[in-house]
Amino acid sequence: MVKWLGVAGLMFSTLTASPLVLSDPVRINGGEFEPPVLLDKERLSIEINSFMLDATPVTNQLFLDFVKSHPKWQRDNIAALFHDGNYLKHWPQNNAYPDGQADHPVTYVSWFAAREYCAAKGGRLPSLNEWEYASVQYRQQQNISDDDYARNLFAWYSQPKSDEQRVNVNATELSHMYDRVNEWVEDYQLLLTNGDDVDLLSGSCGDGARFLSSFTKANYATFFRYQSRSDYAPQSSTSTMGFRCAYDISSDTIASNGDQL
Amino acid sequence: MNNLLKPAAYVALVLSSALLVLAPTLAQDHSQHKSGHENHANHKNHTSMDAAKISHSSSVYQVDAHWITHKGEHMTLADLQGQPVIVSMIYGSCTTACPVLVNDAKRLYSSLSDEAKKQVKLVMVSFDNSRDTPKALADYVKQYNLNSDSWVFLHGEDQDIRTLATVLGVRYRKRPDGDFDHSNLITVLDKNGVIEHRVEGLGQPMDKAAKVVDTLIQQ
Amino acid sequence: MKSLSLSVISASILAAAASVSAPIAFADTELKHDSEYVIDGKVYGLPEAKVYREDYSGPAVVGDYLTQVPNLAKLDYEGNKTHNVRMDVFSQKVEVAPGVSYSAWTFGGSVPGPVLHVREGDRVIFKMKNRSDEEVTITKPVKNGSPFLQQVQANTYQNNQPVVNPMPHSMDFHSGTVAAEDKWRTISPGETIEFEWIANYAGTYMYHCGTSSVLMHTAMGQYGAVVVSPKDGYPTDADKEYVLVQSEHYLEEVGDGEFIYNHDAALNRQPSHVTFNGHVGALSDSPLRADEGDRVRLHVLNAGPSGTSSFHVIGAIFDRVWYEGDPRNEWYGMQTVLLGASNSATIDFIVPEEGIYKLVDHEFADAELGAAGALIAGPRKDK
Repeated sequence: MVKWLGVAGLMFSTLTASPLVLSDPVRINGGEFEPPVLLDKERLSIEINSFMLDATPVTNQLFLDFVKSHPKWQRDNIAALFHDGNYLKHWPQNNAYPDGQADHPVTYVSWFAAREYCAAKGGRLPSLNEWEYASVQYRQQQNISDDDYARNLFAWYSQPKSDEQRVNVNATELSHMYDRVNEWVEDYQLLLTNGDDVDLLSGSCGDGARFLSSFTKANYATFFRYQSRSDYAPQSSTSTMGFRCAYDISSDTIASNGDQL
Repeated sequence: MNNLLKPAAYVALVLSSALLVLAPTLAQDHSQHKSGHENHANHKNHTSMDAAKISHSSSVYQVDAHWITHKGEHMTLADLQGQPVIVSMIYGSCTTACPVLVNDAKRLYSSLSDEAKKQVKLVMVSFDNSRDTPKALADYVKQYNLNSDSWVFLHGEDQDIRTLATVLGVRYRKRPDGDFDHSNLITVLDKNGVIEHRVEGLGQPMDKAAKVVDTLIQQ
Repeated sequence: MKSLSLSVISASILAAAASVSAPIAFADTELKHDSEYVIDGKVYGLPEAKVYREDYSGPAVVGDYLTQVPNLAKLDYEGNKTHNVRMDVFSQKVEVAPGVSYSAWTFGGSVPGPVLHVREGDRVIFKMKNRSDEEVTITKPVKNGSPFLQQVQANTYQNNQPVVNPMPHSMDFHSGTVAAEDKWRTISPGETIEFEWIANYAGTYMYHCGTSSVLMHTAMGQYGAVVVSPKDGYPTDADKEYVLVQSEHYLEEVGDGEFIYNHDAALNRQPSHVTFNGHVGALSDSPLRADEGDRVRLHVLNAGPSGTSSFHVIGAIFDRVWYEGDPRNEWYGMQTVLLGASNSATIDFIVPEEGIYKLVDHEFADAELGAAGALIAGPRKDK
């Protein structure tokens, strides 16, 4: 389950000491999912199809490989429509990330850029429900209690910078869902509705309880993630927003997923 | 992976009209993408052509997606360059908000100057990739008697619909029953595809938007 | 401003004196935008907010009438005025108790944010850039900054240091009467919002971030006070005037003097600290000053986010209390004023003798957690 960068990739990745090994996306087995945040008045159980999800957020190295092969998405070339002026702001050059940060999640990427990267890999951004469904599985795998999840999530938001930003590029299971970056999802712009109308309060005045399937700490934390990310502009390129890609499962998925280089 | 299969036809289409511009890009792509599913990358790269054509970096026409009209014609948004455009997003099986939204666009159109009426395009983009086929959109046009050259209804791929909606500031969500929750928005684009004016909500006054379009026509 | 009758006389004298030059418009209902209209002398129908991106790295707080708590800028103009106010939103490490610092979300870099002082009927053109994804330093001298910045530099009691923590934010002025979904809308990091409001009502008002979760955003430090002085003043004439903002903090230690927000504690209303002006020692390290016989006026705002304040001054009785700071809401002879979250009161008391007067939240659980300060009174001066 390991794939190697092509020759071109090796040439690009001169900053890394050894050939860069990238782990494959992990399979998220589908099933019933009851979203913790109610976007409709009725409580719904959703059927999630199986899909693949990157084990870790996309790294600087991977994103560099992408912009090298997609010049339109280089910092010097990106259209104003697709970013807020801070796109890849932390990179010292158009085609170089900061020294020693090959394995850090790429940040200062707009939602548009994240989607374009995933499309180039043969994937897409996960949907909000897919991401949260995977998040529940992750909590089970990692044995994270609901209380710890909520506590850590609010702690991360109140102080997102940690000294350790590297991700394990060899991860074989879901990693770093909460402790590195806030992640873009395809339908991140929340639309809270009330029948035909957009909800009048939209949960923006502390009225979160109306939108939770049950008022638990974990659900409240998840709602906070939904809501605060929903307030970003799709052009927003910030120091804490990153992403990972999802891939539909088809017969040849694993063999062909995204090896572009 | 449905969306990945689509571009091949389109690349062929573009090639026929812009072979000289596109060819170097494609050649370059092949040097970098060695196997597998690289074909989807090509549809991204046809935009290096569009990017040169689109003078405004913040133009909505930077969205390089490929759409099919209710008449079955293929197009990109960049094809709309040259005149002001009134754009909105709807879906055909919507019986509540969307007819009002289309009617709002109609009201805006009817309050325009004669000169503006001749030039302006009204572009209605469907949220509903699966049900709003070009044929279904043609039926819609017929049903609502919008069969003039000014009106264009567009069918697109889910990813591209999401991109355009996001660029315009339209929020939407597909409900499990197949219908859509969406914000109601009419946007006026200038001749270059840059957002000039937005009317949020249903049944809004259209005087200001009409004035904006009339002014754009004279520019 | 003297007593009520005097102020009417003085206003007419001033008006007479000024009739040769510009007329003094105490109830300036001058309209600026086509959309505006007047009901009972108050202006409504302000234009839509603008949201845009600007290249700005200048002073984070701009405007002559913005101060650091407990100070209140003097209104050195007659009649009404249009204020151009900038208060950027960004993150800042602040200390709320000795050895207890956290990465706060702030307006202007302090908790609470700057005090804005205007007069009833004034127009405020407000601008705010979301600079939460950049380091903003407020402790170094800058040109064209507001008095607030100079005062923070002179008394950096929160030890303010820049930190980066990008978040969407918004500004909700309780002193404004507008469509909230327009003016109080949320902006992303890097965006600037600009809107106008008219100080239609006199009083002391809270401002805060209204972005979800409001509980978290306010508990993280995003609040402050606007003092709208009545156009004819209060019926009494104060010798000293101060602003005091009470709030709760919900912090937990995550190691070595590093504290972070504890959402669980915030939901359960179990504050780790309750402060006046953002630090348990704010008003004991730098107590308020007055002299025996002074009439002291306090504008007290309870910012919450969730608790009440039973504000009391040990050794004094409140001669007058104007609830919410509106001169029509006048009470007399009160020992304690109860303030719900975002309530305020303007309080006059006479300093009876030279000495130390402790200011407390008489809900003593709050006082024990820090809601206490002092006013030190010097000897009586000849009047």
